[in-house]
Amino acid sequence: MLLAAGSDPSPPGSVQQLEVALPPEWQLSVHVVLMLEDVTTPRGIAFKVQVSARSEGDADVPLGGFGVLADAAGAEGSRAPVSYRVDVTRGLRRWGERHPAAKTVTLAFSTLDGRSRPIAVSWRVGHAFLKLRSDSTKSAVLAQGAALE
Amino acid sequence: MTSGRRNDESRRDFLEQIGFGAGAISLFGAGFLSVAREASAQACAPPGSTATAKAWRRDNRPIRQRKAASTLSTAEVQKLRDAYKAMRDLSASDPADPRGFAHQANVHCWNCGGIGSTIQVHGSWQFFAWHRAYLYFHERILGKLIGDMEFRLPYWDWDVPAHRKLPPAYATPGDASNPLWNGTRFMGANDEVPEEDVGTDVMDAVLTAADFSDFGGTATSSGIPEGAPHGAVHVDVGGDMGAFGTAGKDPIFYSHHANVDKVWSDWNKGSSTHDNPEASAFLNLRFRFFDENKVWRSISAARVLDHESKLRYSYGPSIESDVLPRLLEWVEVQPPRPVQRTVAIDARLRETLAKAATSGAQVRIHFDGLQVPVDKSAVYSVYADVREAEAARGAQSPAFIGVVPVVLNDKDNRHPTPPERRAVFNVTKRLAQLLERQAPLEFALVERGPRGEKGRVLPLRARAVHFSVAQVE
Repeated sequence: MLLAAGSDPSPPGSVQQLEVALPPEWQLSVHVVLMLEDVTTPRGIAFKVQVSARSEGDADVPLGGFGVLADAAGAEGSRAPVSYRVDVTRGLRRWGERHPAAKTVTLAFSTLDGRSRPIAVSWRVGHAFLKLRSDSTKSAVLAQGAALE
Repeated sequence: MTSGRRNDESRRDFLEQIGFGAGAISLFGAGFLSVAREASAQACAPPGSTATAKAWRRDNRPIRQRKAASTLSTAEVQKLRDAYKAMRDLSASDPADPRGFAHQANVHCWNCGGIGSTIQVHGSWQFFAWHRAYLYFHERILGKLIGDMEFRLPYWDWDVPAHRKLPPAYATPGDASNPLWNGTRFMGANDEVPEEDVGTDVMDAVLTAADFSDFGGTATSSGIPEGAPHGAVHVDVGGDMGAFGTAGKDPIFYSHHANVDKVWSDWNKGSSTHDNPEASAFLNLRFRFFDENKVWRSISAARVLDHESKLRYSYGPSIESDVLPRLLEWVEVQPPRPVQRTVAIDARLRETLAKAATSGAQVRIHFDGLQVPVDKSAVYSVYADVREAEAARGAQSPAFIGVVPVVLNDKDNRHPTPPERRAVFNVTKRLAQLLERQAPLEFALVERGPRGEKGRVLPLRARAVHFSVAQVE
């Protein structure tokens, strides 16, 4: 079941958002990994995704990102869904210092080209959640299917 | 889910999930779902053979080091160019030869969902192992073509800040006379891979990934580095490198992936807990390639795990080796405590740290909620002694801990910079001198101007400080 969508390409420079819950005691975790599952991307565009933590009145705090290869330049259609992992530990801790009581974090997603300029891309995320990696057995599934808005 | 299933069945699943043909409302914009795969996918002939592949057995060559591309000697660059020229020439003189450059590029295309292929080695735990095997046979072919089986591919070490431009051999001359050049790149000879794609935050996260599922993925998902730095660098270089179907057409691809391979090697060396998967479903994965004698070969994932003994190449030391010793675990040796400038080191802590220093362990000091001025952009040096701070001798001082940069978000401060930082410094080399002090450590910040001039000396304030010790194997 796909719960989130980016419909038509967002105008360059626009940012899509979703809100995910922060796992209890996430600040004590060695790693906090953002899991993005069922990610669907276009087949003909290579682009980068930059993830930031967003708070009203504050500057965005960069958390990390990833690159997405095209199948072939200009190809039409979409690629089969895949998943991505982004270690957001350092950035989230920086953000958390200003929001120690927060229970959720708003994630802002920007799409960039190879020169890190904003570009318009249609893509979507099926499930997003934060996973704690204090050890290999500890994880938490939160905010399944949060929506990109 | 096996690789053969991924493209077709999972795509079918995907179409069914979104209700394609089932009356559900698509959330995509019109056109995005035009799955004109057959009409638009990259055309790449299968690089393989219908014959049964012969299992790859043993490599008896001497172990030779893969070197950073930017550090190659003139003779080594020439050898690299000769090898790729020979591979390109072979494509022209005998298009059917599987060792030619076009065929080599097709290997990647075919294994990444090219037309008619059911294979996709990205997005799962196949990623690292398959690319290691691909580069191994590619390297052997290059060696054969120049009559030197000790030839090893160079790696583009974009994780070294000084090497974030394309390695010069691949960029200059920027025309067809250079067999390492590719005219489709977006990245110019003077452009750099940005910090956010390959910088310290990215590399630390990758090299400290908790286990292989985070590092290299699972049977159905990718690990952290496949997205960044790997994918990000592909996009940064652009052109052929930006697409699965064409990436192998750019010689920088092989140098880029040699560094991705080195990152895997470094991650394995980083900790005794950084193990590769032991599941037979992973170990028995089989990849197929032509070798340097045009023999169709099969090699298992298990066989590529130890690149030194099995594949006969090594890597030079990692810049991360000082930062990431062979850790068993980080041990916190003092609970966080509020800090107003001074930190007393009690007898128990002193003993623990002294023992760590003599055992070869790494010791770090962590400041949480470290307060820094945010009235202007500046660099602040951290000292553990006020008098040393006043003297401001920088790294010459035995009490110098490190620096904290403060860069305002904008010059008008419309997006205020947080006044608190979390800072971690490796103090292993200075630990003995710090422990010589019997008095509490008195921390101070010294402002450093843009030309290195000394500025304000400020007492250090932080919400908590603690030490950690890396137990070294």
